[in-house]
Amino acid sequence: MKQAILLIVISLTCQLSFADSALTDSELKLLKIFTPWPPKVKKDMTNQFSQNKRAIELGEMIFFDEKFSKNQSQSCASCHQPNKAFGDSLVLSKGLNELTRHTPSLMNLANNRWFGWDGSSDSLWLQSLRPLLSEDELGLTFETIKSTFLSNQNYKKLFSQLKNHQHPETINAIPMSVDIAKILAAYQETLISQPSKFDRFINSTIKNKRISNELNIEEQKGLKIFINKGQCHICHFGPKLSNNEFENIGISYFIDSGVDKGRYGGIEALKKSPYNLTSQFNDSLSPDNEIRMSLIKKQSRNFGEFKVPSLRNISKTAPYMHNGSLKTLNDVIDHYSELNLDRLHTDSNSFFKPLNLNKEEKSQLKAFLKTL
Amino acid sequence: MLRTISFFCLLAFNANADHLKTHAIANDIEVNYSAPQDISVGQFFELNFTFSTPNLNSSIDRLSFKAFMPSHKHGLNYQPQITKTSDKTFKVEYLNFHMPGHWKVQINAFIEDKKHPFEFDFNLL
Repeated sequence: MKQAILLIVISLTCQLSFADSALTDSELKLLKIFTPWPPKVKKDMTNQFSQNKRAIELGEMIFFDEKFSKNQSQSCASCHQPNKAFGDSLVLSKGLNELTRHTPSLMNLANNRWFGWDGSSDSLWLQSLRPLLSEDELGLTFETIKSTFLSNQNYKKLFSQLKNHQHPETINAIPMSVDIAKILAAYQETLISQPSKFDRFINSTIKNKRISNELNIEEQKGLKIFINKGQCHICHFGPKLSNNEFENIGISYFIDSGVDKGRYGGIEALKKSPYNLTSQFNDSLSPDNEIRMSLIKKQSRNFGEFKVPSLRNISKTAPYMHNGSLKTLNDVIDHYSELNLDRLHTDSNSFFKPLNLNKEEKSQLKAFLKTL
Repeated sequence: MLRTISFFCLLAFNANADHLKTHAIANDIEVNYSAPQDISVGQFFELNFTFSTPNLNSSIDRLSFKAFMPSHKHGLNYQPQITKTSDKTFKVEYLNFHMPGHWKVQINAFIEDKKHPFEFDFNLL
């Protein structure tokens, strides 16, 4: 009898905890799409240095080394700053010259399919090679990358250990530079966010089968907007809060010199690149790379599409969008709330509609985004 | 002429080796297809189609394939590979539904230049 009463009390308590919640059972089930975090990072088979401890250490040293720039005063970390989720707070990136796009965060890139705002890189090592060689970014050449590397005795020693005692002097500048890019990529693969307040909320809720108080009611209501009225999860899907694809969301793609073609130009650049995954520099023998390259075709809707960014650490990565044109989270929420459909490409995703959020909803959505 | 079969993949997040089969019939042509039971958003998968033509001896000459999200009015980001594996079977590889929601698959089986269309619905949550 006592046991029966106890069961009834427990049952009522559980029901009350769900009834008090801002989330329904079906919404809670949907939360599983955002798990697990941290993700299990798979070794990048295209990169011989992936998950190699020595390579990771060497990659970190190179990443912060200002000698790896034409003026010897800039490094990868000049734009990708650790205290800003490996991004910066500038509207547009600034290397040797100002660029046309905002610096993306380098967090949580491991195992992505595409890299860069336009997906012009199909590996993290190709994406790492690009800024080294860009005249507007670090401004090096294959020869100066090699000579800079060889000027450091410690780098030479570590590299030799990684390459079965092969002396770096004996390697030509191009494969040497690609190896350095791969070593940089090995380091960047390790940049994984700590579990967020949102992760703790999901894990606790699933584990205990009752809504966790990790998110307060305001934040829970924001989550509800994210997955219902906002439908944000359609693109910001999965544990990384990005489907790693490309969308045109009505952000201007006009630049001083004309037009930023976005994904359209990214596909063109990738197919032309002598260092993409179909090249001799890919360390994997899998035929998948050739096949996958054949699967992507330029479509008119790719014009002005840019990478769907991960929303993790979003409160640290202002300003927002590929051109940094939205300064704050309020601006981002206003952009989607009052979305100007005239600015979308006629072939764009017709799923996008103005969200028409009221002031309270905007505040709730912002509160939730800050938990990511 | 055109028959539609709905095939719902509910909360499909983990790969599963089980396959579901369904079929549609148009103009005396029957098609069965197999698909992974769990289709994950953003992951590549394949569909295998088997045609039966009880009143016709002809084989299927070719297959055209299209997938799109009706409410979004966009198609696939990756162009799948279609392979004829026998007179009446086709494999469609490297399919990738990059968003959750309703996807419509339209196929056309061609016999001596005559088109026989079929539609299938997939819902990924």
